[in-house]
Amino acid sequence: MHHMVRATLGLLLSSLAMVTCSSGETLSIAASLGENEWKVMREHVFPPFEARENCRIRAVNIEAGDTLKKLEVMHRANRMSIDLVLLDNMNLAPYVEKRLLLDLTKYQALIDPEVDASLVQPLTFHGQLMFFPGRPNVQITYYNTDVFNGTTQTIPETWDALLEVAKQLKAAYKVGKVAVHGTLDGNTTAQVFEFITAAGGKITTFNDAGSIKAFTFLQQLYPYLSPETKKANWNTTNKFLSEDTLFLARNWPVGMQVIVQQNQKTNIKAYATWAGPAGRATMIGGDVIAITKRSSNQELALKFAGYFMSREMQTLLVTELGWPPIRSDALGSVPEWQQGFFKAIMEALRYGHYRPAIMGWSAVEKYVNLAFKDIVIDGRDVQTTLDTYARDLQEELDWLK
Amino acid sequence: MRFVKTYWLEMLMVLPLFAYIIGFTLLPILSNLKESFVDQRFGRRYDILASKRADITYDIAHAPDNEEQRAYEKELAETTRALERLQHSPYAGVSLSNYHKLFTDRSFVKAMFNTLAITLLGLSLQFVVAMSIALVLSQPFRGKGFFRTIVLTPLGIPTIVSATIMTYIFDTSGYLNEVLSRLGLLGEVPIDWAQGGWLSIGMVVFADTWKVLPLMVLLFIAGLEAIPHSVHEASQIDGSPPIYKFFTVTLPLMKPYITMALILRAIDAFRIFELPLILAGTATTPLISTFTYSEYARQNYNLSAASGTILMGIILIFVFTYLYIVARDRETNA
Amino acid sequence: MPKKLLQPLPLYLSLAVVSLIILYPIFLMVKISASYPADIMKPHKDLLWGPAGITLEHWRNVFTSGLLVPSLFKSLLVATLVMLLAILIAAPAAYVIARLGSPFKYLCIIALFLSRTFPEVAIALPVSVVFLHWDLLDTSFGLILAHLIKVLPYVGWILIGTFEAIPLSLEEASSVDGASKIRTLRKVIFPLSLPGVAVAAMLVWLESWNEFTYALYLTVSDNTLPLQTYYYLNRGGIFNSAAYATIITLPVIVLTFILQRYITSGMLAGGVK
Repeated sequence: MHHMVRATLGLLLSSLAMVTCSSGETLSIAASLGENEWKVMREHVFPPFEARENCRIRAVNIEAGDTLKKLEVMHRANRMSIDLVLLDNMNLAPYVEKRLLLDLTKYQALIDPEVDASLVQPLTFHGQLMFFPGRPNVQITYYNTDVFNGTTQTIPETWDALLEVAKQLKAAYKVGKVAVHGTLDGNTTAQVFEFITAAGGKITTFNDAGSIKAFTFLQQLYPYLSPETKKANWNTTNKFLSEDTLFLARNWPVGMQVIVQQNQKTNIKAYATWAGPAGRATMIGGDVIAITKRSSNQELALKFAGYFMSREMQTLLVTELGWPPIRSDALGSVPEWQQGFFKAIMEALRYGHYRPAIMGWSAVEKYVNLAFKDIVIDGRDVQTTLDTYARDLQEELDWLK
Repeated sequence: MRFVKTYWLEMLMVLPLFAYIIGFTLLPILSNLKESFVDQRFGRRYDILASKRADITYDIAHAPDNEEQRAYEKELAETTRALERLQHSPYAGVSLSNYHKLFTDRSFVKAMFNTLAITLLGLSLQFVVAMSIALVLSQPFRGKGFFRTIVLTPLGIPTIVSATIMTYIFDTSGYLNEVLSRLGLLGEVPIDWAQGGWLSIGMVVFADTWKVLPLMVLLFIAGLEAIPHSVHEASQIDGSPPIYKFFTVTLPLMKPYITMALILRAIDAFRIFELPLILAGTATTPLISTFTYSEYARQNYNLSAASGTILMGIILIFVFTYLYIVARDRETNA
Repeated sequence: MPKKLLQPLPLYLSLAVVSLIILYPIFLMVKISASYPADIMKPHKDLLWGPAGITLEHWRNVFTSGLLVPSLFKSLLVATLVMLLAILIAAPAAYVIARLGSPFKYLCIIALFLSRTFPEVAIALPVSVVFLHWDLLDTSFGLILAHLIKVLPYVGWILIGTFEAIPLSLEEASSVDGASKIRTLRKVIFPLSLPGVAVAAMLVWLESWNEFTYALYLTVSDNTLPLQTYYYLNRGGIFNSAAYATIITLPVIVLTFILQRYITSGMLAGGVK
């Protein structure tokens, strides 16, 4: 008897939930986007969904670096006011660790078969699917066409060429004109990952042959880099490229908005990347979709996730924003001024590798940055430093498993 | 009881301030202090397991059906067992490992040096310049109100904005290098202000002073104007040179204001954080506050707490030493 | 101090140099907000103004974005209320502490500034959790409370100094004249403390106007002005944030111009005794 009452109540409640969900509910979505990206969201992405589901979308901008803190504060106070987050995939482990998100394993069917399977695979933690793919992203190499015009300089396709270019530019201009992200935080880790992978190494092993080659190369390259390397992150690199402090640097596609559209530097273009000893390698970043655990609108949020991953939406994102799509059937034409960049992005994605989806990524970041400082900036011995840090890293990773 | 009766007004006046401060700052500081004595490895694991346990308990209470509830209860039992195992691990209990790690870290030691250098250099510069400006502003002259407003403007600019403007000035292709090269003071290579060492310390000190000067000027002006005119008149009678009068009459009378201004500034100067981060980057110019922040961002809360505690310790030592000197000075003069 | 100390020429010269150093960064900020990108984004900067001249494009963007007025209003509201509350709470307490005996006074002072010696990031999170628990997310009230945390030790500290500087003899003289404690406070202490209170009030207002960390935690949809500026800055939108920054600075300039006159006149009333 008791069970029947309970079951009926459950049925009633869930149908009530569905009714309330589709009549004037508000879905709160958080993302870290630029103004032009929000414009497209508000004008093209949200309205059809709002009409279809008869609800309202409240969009909130939370910068990528602040999202974890804000979600955690809300979760701990039990006042979760965000339902769905378009999350930067730089470091997803803490969100899983702090149990902020809904387990999506049973909603796997929401992912269409056309969605690239390799995008989904790194979204599983401890056997549970915690995220949906949102959009992949990758860094591209920006270059100044006034300098890299084929006669004065040609864009470097290999590490050796890169070193040559850096040397020649420094000799010509008395300061380095090439930079890597040297701010000793997540930015640095991302680029070091690319170097290590391009040398055939594994970042979690840290002292294998590939890693040693990568760090040795960076150590050789550093003296010829711009002094602004230590201030170059995903944001300031755009400024340096725009004002000709840098002629060559890798950065995220967001740079094209800032450099070409805002700063009107049409002489800056991009190509995919250079090749290391083991070929070309890039790191796949991007955004993933996460649904908060304590959200009050989970049904609606799941529907939006499916909507975002649909062919219509992904095609729209390609044509309006030049975002690479997650599925193979989302073909569209990018605005003209973006076409060169888009080509570079798609090519760079082909060489893309994922960072390991481990719990201790922040430990990896710490040791990568320590090694960068000791080896690349201070010039210490590569082998011994990497051995020490590899050991420490392994210890920490084991502990956090 | 009689104490309360006579001093009821005073107690009422003090209560709101202290209730607020104890509740919202002392308690978090104390909990951070406690955290700093927990080994980082233990602390991280404990955090994960404890919040997991709290979360599962919440889920159990809100579980939609029996089956899920049982699954949660199983998880809860597992977590509790893991917690118990953790308590018996060698890392449990009070530990000084965080402090040991910090004091043996090369870049943390450098951070301590940088922090001290920036603060002491900054304080001296700010004191001298602010006092001079305050003295000038306490005199009547044409355009005084205008100049006073100019001096106070940097106060209104948010730190992030002033930090960014400063990067435009101190970048290698920034405005300062441009001025220097037009004056012919620059060679072929522009100055890399963020290279570390005294150059970067100087850059941070300058940028900070720019932002903070108005505050000190204000405090010194208030102090100067609190000196009754009668004192000024009396000291003018004996005809000794104004510099002498400044050091023997004005300065001592301003002591409470100076003490207050310097200590207030010192506390903020030791904690300076956004400015060096944006201007110089942590690669060359680490500071204790940037250290605390980066460890916090990596979820190493215990290490971050230890670093913050060390900073607080340094500030306290400085302040107490200063107060001691001032108090002793007052006794010998009284 | 005798006027002969300040000769006009060296005085005005040094004033000019100091003014230049103080104003140039502000000038840069205003310049960037009204410049064409091509004039700013180049290796050799123009010290005064670029060849392309002035553009009002960035200001137009800021005003039409619809985000300016709400954040302006919120910042204004919060700052003013924080200022009033802070003085109300801190001034009476500061007076009492200033009059306390030696060990007790120092203990209070230590407790006061201790709260400001710890890095903010470690305190802001637990405090924000509590505030959210009380459903203060995205409310101006929550932000006001949070700003008070930052500001109270600061203003208490300044006011203690202010009250300490008022000689005890004046109070004693007043009570000898037969005035009650409250009357003494009103007639003697209050006027004399006005310059210090004015300074403290202004600083509190400015600190709240510029505050940023707690705003980050405690707001979701309604940004404060500094937060809005931060978002633009974080994405390299230097032109928009320069416009925002100029808007932030304007009321400050106006405010300081008004208040700095007030300090002088207030002092004249109390000092001539």
